[in-house]
Amino acid sequence: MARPTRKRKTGDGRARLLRGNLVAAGIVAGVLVIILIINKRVREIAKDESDELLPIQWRQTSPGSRPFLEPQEPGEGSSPVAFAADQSTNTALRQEMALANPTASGWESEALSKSASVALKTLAKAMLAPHEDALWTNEVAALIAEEFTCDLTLPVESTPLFDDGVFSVRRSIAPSDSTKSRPGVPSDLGGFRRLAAQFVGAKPTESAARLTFKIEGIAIRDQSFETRVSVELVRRDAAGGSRQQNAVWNCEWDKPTAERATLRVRSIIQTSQEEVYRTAPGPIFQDCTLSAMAQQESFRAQFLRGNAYWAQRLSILEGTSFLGHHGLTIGDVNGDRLDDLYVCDGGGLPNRLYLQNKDGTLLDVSLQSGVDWLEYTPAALLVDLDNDGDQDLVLATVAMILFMKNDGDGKFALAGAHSGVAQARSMCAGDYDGDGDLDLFVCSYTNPNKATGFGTRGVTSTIPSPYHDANNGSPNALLENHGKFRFAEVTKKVGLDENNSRFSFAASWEDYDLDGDLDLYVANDFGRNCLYRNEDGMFRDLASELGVEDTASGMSVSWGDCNGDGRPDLYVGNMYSAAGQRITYQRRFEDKREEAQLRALRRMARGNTLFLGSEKGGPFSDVSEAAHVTMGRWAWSSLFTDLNNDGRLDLVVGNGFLTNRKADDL
Amino acid sequence: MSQSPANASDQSALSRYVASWNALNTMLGRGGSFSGRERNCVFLNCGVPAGSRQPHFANISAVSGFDFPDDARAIALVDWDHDGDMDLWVCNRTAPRLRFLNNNLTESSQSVAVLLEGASCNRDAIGARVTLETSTGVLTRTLHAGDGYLSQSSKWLHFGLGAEASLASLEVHWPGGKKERFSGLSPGGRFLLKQGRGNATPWRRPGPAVKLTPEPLHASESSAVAQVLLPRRIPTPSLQYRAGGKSEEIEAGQESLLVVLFASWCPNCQTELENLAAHAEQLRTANLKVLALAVDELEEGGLGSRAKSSKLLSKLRWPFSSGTATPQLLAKMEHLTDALFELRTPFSVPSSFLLDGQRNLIAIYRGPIPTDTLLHDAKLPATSSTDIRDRSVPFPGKWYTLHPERTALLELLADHFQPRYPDEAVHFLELALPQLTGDGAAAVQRRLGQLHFYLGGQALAANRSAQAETHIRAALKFGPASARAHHDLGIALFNQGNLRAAETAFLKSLELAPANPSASKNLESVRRALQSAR
Repeated sequence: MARPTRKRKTGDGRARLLRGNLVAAGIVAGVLVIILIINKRVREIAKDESDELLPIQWRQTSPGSRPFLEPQEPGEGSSPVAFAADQSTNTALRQEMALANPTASGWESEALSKSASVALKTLAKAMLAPHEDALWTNEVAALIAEEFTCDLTLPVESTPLFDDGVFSVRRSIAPSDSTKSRPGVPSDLGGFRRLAAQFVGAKPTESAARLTFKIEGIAIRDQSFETRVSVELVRRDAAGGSRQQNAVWNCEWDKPTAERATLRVRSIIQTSQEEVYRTAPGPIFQDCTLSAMAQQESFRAQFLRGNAYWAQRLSILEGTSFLGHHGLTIGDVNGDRLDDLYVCDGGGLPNRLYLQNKDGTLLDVSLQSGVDWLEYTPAALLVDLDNDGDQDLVLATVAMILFMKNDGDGKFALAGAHSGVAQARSMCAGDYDGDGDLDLFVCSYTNPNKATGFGTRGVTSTIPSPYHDANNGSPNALLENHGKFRFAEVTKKVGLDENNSRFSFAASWEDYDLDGDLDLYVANDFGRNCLYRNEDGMFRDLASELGVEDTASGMSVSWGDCNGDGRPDLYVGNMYSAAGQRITYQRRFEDKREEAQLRALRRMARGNTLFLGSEKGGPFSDVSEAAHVTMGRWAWSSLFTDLNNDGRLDLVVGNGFLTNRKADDL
Repeated sequence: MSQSPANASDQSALSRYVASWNALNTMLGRGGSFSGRERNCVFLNCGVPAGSRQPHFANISAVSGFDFPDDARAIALVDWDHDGDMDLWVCNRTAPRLRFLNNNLTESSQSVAVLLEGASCNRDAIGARVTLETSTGVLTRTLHAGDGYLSQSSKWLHFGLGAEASLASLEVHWPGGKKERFSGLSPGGRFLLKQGRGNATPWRRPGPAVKLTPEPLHASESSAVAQVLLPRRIPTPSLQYRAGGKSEEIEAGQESLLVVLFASWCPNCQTELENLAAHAEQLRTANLKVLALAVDELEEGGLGSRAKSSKLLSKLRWPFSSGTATPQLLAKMEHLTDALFELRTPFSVPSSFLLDGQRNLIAIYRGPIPTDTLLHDAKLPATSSTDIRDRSVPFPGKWYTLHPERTALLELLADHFQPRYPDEAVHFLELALPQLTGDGAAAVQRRLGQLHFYLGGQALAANRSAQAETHIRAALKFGPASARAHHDLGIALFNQGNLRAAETAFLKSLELAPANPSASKNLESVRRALQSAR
């Protein structure tokens, strides 16, 4: 194939030039047309480890914008009226809806758990309103069994676990026998009300308070059942400090009977308690986005609207990203040593480059810098690919990996493209072969299963099978830098084709064994992860031997030394599912499954994982539960960072899967 | 995913598993949530107890201020304002899709930040490991380029020093193995570390200290009103409505057509129709016809009626054509939009569809359309495909892909319509066929053969023999060697009294599949009928 040609055209005559390019570039013209089919075709060519990049012809949208009809602020009468036109039927959907309805699905545990959580909501409302007599004497009284016992006070360690003068953390004394719950004190409604008031704090009305309960485990008996409930109480005190209590309650319930339609709580025993108190006024993090983006119209118009909004206005023909799989990157693009911000977006919405001004505010230079791609872009990196002292831009886009060269002033020119991987996700750069330039690893999730597959509908186009060990994803790629923006795929050559057909979300390089070269950890959805040890430029997957398979829904990788021993530790983002925890421990679920598979499925719902590195690159130890870092919910980016400058790496976890207009259905 | 099969060879469990995935995907496309409204988490490292290696973490999510209920995805760490603590840029799926969270650390602790520059290794020094000895211990940080999920953080390495620590020494392990000690660092500063220099160069950001102020950030208000321009011309299914007691079809014509769905009881609809009527001349000049279709009767327990909608139109002296929407028209338009959008938007009134002369869909409007918008969009049918695509996006930008191929789009529509409207799938595939060659054409021909055979069978069962004959003959065009098709053709012909031809069809079927008892029996019946006819 010919050397990359880099015709750069703007303005008029684009259609003609594009056609010219189609004729000249032959196969590349195909790439331009239908992404998915051709991607395959081109990749076959690229598999020979050629470092010839594909010449890509791009064009700017024609001048003249559309009159944008949508009002910024909707006025009176501008909203159409909904009417029922939905006569469609979908049997599978109705079946799943039936399954999501716990009573109909036959999961007694889920039905009881749902009733208990409704009762707990009432309780939370009442506990935050200790003076509302009507609420207590009517609603709470109806929930309390006659022989009710209660204990919400646990002895706390005399020495705080942590205290730096601003933050203090205290924990309850661990009971000597944690399997046995303490007996509660017999209590009537008035007694419970006093204990509850004491738990919440003297004057909860003084400040905004939040009390949430989540049921994480359930054990069923004939007439009753027991739930393990995680409790989070948040409030500010009059002095401006804030307090957070993380507790676990063991609640015992009487099942509903023929005479009594609702369940009743028989006992509430607190089994653990963690109190966090911050004396400084205000939270650690303050949202200063508006101040930083003050004059940037593109921020308001594009980013103050959610992906659901755009998914109703941009069709899948442009590769919209309903699930929100697009990220951001930080780097200094114009050489002033101030970090700038590049934000990726779904198809039909341009990626944005915001420069940092001297006063910390931002300036949208997407168009001027040449990086306003409308193609769906999951990920981008700002790295110096040609070692000339400026930050170049790598983009994982809908069909290809694009390489853009920085001219030193923050203007980017397209150097060429690699056919890359199917459904790219995270990327990470590192010099794996020690030749002085940066190589790239690109994660791939799965192959779209339709030849015509515009975009991907729903969670995944290929159904992972089996769920806990899916090996029907698509291969990740290592792109080796050959200089002058030439990249060759060497995945197979270096042994990274081992265990390489999973649903990979994220990866990160680290010299975990401190032998001087970069090793690679890859987090996979629906199953085990990989730790590829670099052995003189060849890789071997040692995840199993080193105990870091972490069979779960891997979504994020972060390396850092969190215990100060100089060895890299590893924090992996996963999916924490209270429902998964409840279901996988039920007898009905157990009966059908092999012990090993059961363990695997339970593990999948456990949440994030912290692995401590050991001497000489030996096995890691999983300390997630003891270190209290599993509950990251449906976690995405989960990162080590030192938030309070005490030299110890803390953890931040961004989470939440899909919030749509309907409430949680699962 | 409680449906994941316990045993891989359990086919029925497997199909339940597949069905639940499909149902999940459908549910999400209809606005369902899945682990939504979850609050972000923060865990504070409380240190390692003496004699242990394992640190304790405390859940400080709520007091940290980071616990937004967003659907968060990417997080980049950076000391944006250079006040010595780590701030966050966060990218969300839900609005606001971007947040800058400024670290408001009030502790009296200090930090030091370093930016590396490699000489014998990669210039960014990605992979470098920096160890910093302080009076209280050793801190180790590695420079990464890409971690978390879809994220890359700042290349400035950040070391928190606590309240009292003083710096002892700093060592860089450059990629490639060289080690280098740097002097000249002090707490509270930012330093450039160039490989080979051995001396840290202090660096201060130019200009005054950054002052960014906190302010609550909310999503933009959005109404259900939308102007949706499609990125290319979308072929439509056949669309029927009723007018003057007859069934009418939306047919191709010289002019573009705006189909407006309205209800008599809806005040927005009345305003919309008034506006269109008032601009009738301008719209005609723009080569645009309008068809107003009432949906009053389609609602269950609705407020409107045919009489009311006719009354509204005559009151407005409606200058264009009008009629009543059929349930099929709505269902097919819903199918079409379902095929094109990931998130379903339920129909509401007024809704309008702009069709070009060939009745390709150009735009969808939810809510009333300002006249200037409509007049602008009325020019779209006459513009190039490139322009249509460029106009469909809300902001300008760059493309390297071409607009999607028409054949691929037609196959997508055929897939989507096939389960419920196989005749429409045939329509879309027949449009695609002339533009296909090779394997692609063969696959579509096979599908067309199967679809026509199926439709022929349906027509036979409904006693529509002539229609059945047409379909089966079409099926035979694509698959002349199908014994079953010849057999069904025989029945269709027999039912129409065409006995000679029926005999030939059954003979052909038996020739292709001699052991078919049904064909033999039918052949006998045809021959008996022929005998008695003589």
